Amino acid sequence: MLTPVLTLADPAESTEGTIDPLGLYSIAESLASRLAPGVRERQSNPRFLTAMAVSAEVVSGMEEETRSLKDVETEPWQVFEWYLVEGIVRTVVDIEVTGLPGINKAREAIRNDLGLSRDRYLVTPTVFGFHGVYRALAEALNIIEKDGELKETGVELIGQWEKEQGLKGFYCGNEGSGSDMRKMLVKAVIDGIHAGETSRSKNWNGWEFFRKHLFHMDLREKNGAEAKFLRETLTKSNPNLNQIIDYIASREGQKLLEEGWQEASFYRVLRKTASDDLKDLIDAIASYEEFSRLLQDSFDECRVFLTRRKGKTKIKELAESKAVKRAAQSIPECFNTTEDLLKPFGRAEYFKYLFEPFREPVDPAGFARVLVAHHEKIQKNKPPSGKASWFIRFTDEDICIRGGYFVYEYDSVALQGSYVHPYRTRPLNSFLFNLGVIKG
Amino acid sequence: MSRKKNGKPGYGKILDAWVPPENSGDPKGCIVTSYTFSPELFEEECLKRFLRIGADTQEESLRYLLEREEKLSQNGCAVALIDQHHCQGERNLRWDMIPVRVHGGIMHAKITLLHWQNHIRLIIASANITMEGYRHNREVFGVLDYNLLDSEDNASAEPLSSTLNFLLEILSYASGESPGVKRCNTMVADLKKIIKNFEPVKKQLIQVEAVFSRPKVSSDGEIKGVLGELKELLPAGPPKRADIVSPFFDQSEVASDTNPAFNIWKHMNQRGEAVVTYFVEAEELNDGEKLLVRAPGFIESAKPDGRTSTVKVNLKRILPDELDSARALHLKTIWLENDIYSAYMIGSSNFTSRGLGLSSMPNLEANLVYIFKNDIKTEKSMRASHVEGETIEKTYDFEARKDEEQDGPPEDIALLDAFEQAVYSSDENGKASIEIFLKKKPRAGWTLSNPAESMETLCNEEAWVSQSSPLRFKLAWGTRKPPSGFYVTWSGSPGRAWLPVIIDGQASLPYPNELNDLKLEDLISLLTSARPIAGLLAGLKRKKNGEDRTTVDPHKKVDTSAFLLQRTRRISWALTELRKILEKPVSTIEALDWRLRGPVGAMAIAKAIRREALSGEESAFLLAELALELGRVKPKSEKGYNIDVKKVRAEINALSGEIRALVSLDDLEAIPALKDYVQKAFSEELNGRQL
Repeated sequence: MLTPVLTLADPAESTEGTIDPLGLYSIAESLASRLAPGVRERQSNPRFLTAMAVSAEVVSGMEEETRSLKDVETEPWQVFEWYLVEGIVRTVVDIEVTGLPGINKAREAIRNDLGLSRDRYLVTPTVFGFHGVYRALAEALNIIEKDGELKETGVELIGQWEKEQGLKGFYCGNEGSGSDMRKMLVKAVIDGIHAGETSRSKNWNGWEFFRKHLFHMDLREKNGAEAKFLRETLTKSNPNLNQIIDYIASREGQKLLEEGWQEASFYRVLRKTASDDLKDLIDAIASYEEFSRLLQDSFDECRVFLTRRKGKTKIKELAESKAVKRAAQSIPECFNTTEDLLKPFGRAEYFKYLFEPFREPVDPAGFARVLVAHHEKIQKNKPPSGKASWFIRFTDEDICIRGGYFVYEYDSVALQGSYVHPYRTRPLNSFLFNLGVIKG
Repeated sequence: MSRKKNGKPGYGKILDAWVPPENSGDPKGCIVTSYTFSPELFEEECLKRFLRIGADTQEESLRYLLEREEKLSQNGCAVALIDQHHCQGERNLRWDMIPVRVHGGIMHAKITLLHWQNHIRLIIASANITMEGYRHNREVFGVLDYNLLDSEDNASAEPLSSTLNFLLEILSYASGESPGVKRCNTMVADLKKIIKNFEPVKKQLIQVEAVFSRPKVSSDGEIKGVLGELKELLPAGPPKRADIVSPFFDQSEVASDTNPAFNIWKHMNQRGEAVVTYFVEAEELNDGEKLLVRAPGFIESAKPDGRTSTVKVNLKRILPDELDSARALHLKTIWLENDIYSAYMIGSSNFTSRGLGLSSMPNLEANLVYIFKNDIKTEKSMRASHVEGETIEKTYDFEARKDEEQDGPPEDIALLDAFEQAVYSSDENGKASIEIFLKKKPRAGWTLSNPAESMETLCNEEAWVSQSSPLRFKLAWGTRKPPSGFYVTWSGSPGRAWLPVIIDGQASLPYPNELNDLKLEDLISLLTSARPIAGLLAGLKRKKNGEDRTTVDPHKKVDTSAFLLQRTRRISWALTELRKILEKPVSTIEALDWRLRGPVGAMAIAKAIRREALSGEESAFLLAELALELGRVKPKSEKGYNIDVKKVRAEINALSGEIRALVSLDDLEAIPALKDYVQKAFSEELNGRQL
């Protein structure tokens, strides 16, 4: 019998931390992907790339193995992920583990003397588990295929790791401690698939494997061949990424990032020494972010206005907002510049498709109307079947704000000149820290 | 679910209560009630957990869509009963959203009833199913679990049984003839049957009862209300102490029996001492020298006449949330205790006359009461789920929060009584229509418009009168996307009301375009792989987009999937798997329909064969094989799966007949042996399908 329960705050896990009421995110994301292909804001530690390569090797060929299990709803890589997360939680007791997706779920399962399973792990492991978080990067770096099989770089990475860890035979070998370990893991994963959960007792020898050989927080301390290989793989994979990584690692780059983490300033300075291609990309980003800032500031100031009013409000009254006035004046020109700068990156048409109504000059009241209508359209078109507007509309001119979207204060002046969206310096800085390149 | 989260006893996340427990089996149905409501949160967070949908709504929208269709169409019932002022919003029509129309009051109960094959879970909460309620506010909820396979640790059946009866009362305020209401009634009836067979549970340390508010008068004509019921549940005499937590109070300071601040004393110890403590929010004013207590000042002075020396009112300041001080207080609890027992009530009832059923127009409210002896261990565990408070030592002023329910959001307007329901249905050819049911003539100047099509007017008073003012009329909908609802306005309406559309049955709804007409090869892959359908479809989508990887193994470079022998063998495997699926027990007609006529069902295979067979002969041969396999199906039954094996067999037979009609024996004249085989196969299929 349960006693009653007081609720804990349960903030939504949202993609890259934004709910994106104006549809600004997708273009920013595609520009960021050109800066650093495969890198996502949620990533922090490249050791998970090695873990994915090891996982791919362990589960290789299991599709056939599990064909007969018609009721199985879990893929082999998922079971490997459960083992790894549970293994780290079980065996790393001397330091506080951070940056491990699913760690709280594993702690709870262990506390209840249970193994990890679909019901005792992340609700959406395909996105929020480490395979989900790092899959795009692992594919971009040729570590794994789309279907999860190892690719050339993955094979090399395992080779370096195997040698450094003293696990001879782990990759495709029939002899050596690595081979024995792989066989033990294969059996554990197959048993896990059958059982629908990790199916090893707390005394299992295999748990130590994850601490000794795949603990993500060890990479920096070791700073050996595996870290060197990952560093080289990252920098060689893309010229833009190479330049950004070099600049982050530089004293000047570190200083800029320490000063309040202003990516706008960071990229402005990097632009001076960047290649022509990267310069074009930074210019497109700067212009798109200026456009985004005008829209975002007006939207949030409107929310503050509507929150204070807490009732039916004429849209034309939103024209009193300073940010709305500023946007009404600057947006048309900014629209044209951004459209031109996005052309080389194939995003100009999509930009037009999303934001065309902002091209025409209008007065602040007209801008507020376009802004509200734009928000409604964006919400309506969100997958899978549309989302509610943050405003309740009574007539064409009357709206009020819904309770969940109240904002009491917003300082648009302080935010002027800053980017609305993140552009990968945080994950890359974290990568470099974990690879032992910078002090952190 | 566990009580312990982040090491803090008594705390948890309400969405975790939607996750199925171990071995709970397939989802069978759920019913929720809420005052305010977010269809998005319900569908994308609650149902996602209840149905075990693995895909992410944002990053894997197609996969999510496919998994949702598969699981919702097989789920017997998913119904949200929402107060009429807040019953609106876009949604997937595979679940029902039904307005509850309480005249003069509101439907304020927050009940969640989840039914899986082997498990029933009842959740009663203070939280509405909204982003604020489920993610931000400080709320409280109680969970009662009923394991249908092992009843040893089950809660008493009483609160579940009384909640089912209360749900029927709530349903009586909804449109009685609505297909959604019928689905809901069926689920309640099924659960009542299950409860009848419950074994009595052993005596527990904590007894749980459900207490509701609704228009109710005791036999002597006196309004008993929630406080009266609560007092009766407390054994060994009246309470000496009461702890009250509520974000809202009555605004009127008139001393009356209907004002809870005065009414509470009727139920307290009448001889000797009695103490009422209000746990209140308080904000610091003037650089922290003074506090602003968020409650009306009269609660402090509301005491029974002539007893000022023996009764006492305390105020305690609720400590802010340790991690997020901005979380709004929305929980409502009342703790009564005497020297021997305590009764702790949690739920939807604010400390208002309407919330506690004292008003002449009370709300519909639902609460759970935990009754226990005051031993140290039990009391400690129960106190862990009560907010902590500190004695107020500073000076303070009072300013009550505005009562959300009494005043109500002024701009939200309820649907006119005249509009009963809008029901979506489709014919065999997929042509849909929406039937509007009116109870009476609506107010003058009414218009029904479609928000999905730039507010296109679908019908208005003028057009309706010109058709002799029918109380039922149909709107032809064709093959357009089914709408979630319509806006209704009328002359002088202060805003737009929402008329939700519901479906007459799952079979009426079309599947998403992405799932229509899958290729035969894709269907074979789906049926012969161990991976879940949605995961495979993601792979198939990549293939369709030409993103499939370049294979390194030279043996794999040759695509042999079209080779006749290989292809026939693979189809044969797929048909065997199809037979195994059809033999599994099935709990709803919709689930059976999905297996037979869904996007990866038997009919989809038959159509793919017809479409893609390399010749008429191959088509006839493979269809005969399919029919043969269907004839071999031996449907199984299991406890808890409602569809009878005879019904399954009858549906399969009907489908076999349709497949037979797809075969033209005339095409086989050139190959007599094949014609003979096909004829025999169909004959064998006919013989084999006898039970």
